[in-house]
Amino acid sequence: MNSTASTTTDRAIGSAEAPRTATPFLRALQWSVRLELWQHRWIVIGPLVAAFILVATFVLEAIGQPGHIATLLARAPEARRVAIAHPYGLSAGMIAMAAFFMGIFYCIEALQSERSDRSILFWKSLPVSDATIVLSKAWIPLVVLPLIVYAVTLVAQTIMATASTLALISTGGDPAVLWRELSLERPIVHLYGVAVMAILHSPLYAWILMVSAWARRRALIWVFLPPYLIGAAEQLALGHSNVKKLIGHLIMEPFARGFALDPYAHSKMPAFDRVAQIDPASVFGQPGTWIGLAATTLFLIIAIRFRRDRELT
Amino acid sequence: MPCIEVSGLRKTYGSTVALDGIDLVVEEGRILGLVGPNAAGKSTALHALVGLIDCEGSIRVLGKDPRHERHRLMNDVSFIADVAVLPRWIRVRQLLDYVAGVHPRFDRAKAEGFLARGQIRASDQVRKLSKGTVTQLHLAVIMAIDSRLLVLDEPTLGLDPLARKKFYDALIQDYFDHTRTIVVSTNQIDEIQDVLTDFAFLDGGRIVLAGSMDAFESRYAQVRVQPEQLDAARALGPIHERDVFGQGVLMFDGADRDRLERLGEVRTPTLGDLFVAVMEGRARSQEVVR
Repeated sequence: MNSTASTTTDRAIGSAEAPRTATPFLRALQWSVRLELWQHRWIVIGPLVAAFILVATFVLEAIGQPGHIATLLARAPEARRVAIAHPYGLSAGMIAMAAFFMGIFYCIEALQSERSDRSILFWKSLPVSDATIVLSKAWIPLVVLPLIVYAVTLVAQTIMATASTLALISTGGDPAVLWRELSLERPIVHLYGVAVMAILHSPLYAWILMVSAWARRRALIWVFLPPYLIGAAEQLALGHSNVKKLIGHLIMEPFARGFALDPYAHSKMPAFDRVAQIDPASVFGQPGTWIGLAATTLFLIIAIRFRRDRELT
Repeated sequence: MPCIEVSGLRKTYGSTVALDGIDLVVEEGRILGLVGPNAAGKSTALHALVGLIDCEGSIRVLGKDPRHERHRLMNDVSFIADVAVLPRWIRVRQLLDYVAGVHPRFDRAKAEGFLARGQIRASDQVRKLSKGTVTQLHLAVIMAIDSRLLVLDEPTLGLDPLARKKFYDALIQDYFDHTRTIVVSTNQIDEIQDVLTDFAFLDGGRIVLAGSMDAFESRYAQVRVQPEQLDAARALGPIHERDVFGQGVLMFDGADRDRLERLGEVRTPTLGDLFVAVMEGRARSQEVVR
């Protein structure tokens, strides 16, 4: 049956007022990222809490053992450099690791929660494309969290350096000796570290966003269960598991590459705080990096399609 | 070119047919009421109009195909899915900031003006507002968007009668300007009858009756007759009949009003009366087929 609602107005479509210019992509992206930060305030709070715990421990130790710094400075030059740099590298790595887990849990719910609370019906009533929304959500672990990690670490390390200086002065030491060991190049090295970590972790985040866009419910299970089962099956069938190794490598390698922080190592890693130590070829010269970036792109494209095509039932 | 042009719209979920070949044309400046029982296909049809689902058939909304141009279409179309889709975590100020940031046709001052009339503050969080207040907030945001088409899917579901009346009053007084087009689906037909220019009854995924409200008022009549006049009234071919306190109430399509007035008290039925008549008629004919 045909239904026709006839017109009472002579305003034709063709003569209608021209629509105002559509919102530019970057503006929509910027507002959508801001929206994510309003909703997920813990993204900022998490690294701050990690930094607070690390700095508080360091400061309390400096207060409790003011002579400790002087003892470290009395060591042989190379051992002294490693010993002084160690807490700084550790703090950067630990804050980055806290942010990494924040990023994982953020991605798990990023595209599913809007479907489960039906707010997607509101978001989709606005002139913002699915690509903008998915990219704004990817922007959080790939850009926003690394920048938060960088800023928080910089502040934390400044407080740590100040505490060490005061402790050294209180025991009659010479702060100049300490500051010769505290590399002023560290902020540049650290910026490189967070960038490398974001690039190398990007396939993982994109994979989780894709699962979040696809899973009707319990995205957490869908994120972890398939790789775990494949790894377990490989282990049972072949007695070893390359899948497990690959996943472990994918998670841990960026910490080692970006911060010289090897979570498996029991000994202290060499200090990584000089610009001369930066070796982009060790990251971008690896085919794995480029395969990972291609996978990131693919997963994000699929996530956009899932968000566009997934129907609410 | 019409505002909405739909032809052969069909949607299935497995073996369930949600839309079964809908043809619909809505010109600009009209207010169309889409009325139907639960699971008639109202929401599915509206979701298809705003590109939320994929369907077979042809759909043009303001000259665009919503399935491929949803976010561009939304520059000119506003949509309220139901009363519970505003994110519960968001604050009113953040909501206005975001919509102002991404929507080129949103007038923030206008939205704040609407909100100032109620009890909604910028610092309020949606989760702390009552259902009626959330609806007011959603409507304030939508009314501040200078869109050409407004699609409302059961916008007052779960609201008390006062809140429902406020909603439709605001919609007509503050939003509708005879150039905008509104499509609204609801079960509460009688409450919106006065605001509609057109109606379409949906059942089983099909439009079973449609027309303009002007034609409806001249075409349909309802007469209340005493039992002794019942046979004479039935002879005129009513489309529906029911018994009210021992009197027959018969509805006619296109009957001569003068003849009806000789049989009893004649009045124009409500859209709800017609809806019941059409649905009961369909149920009876389906029983006969079985």
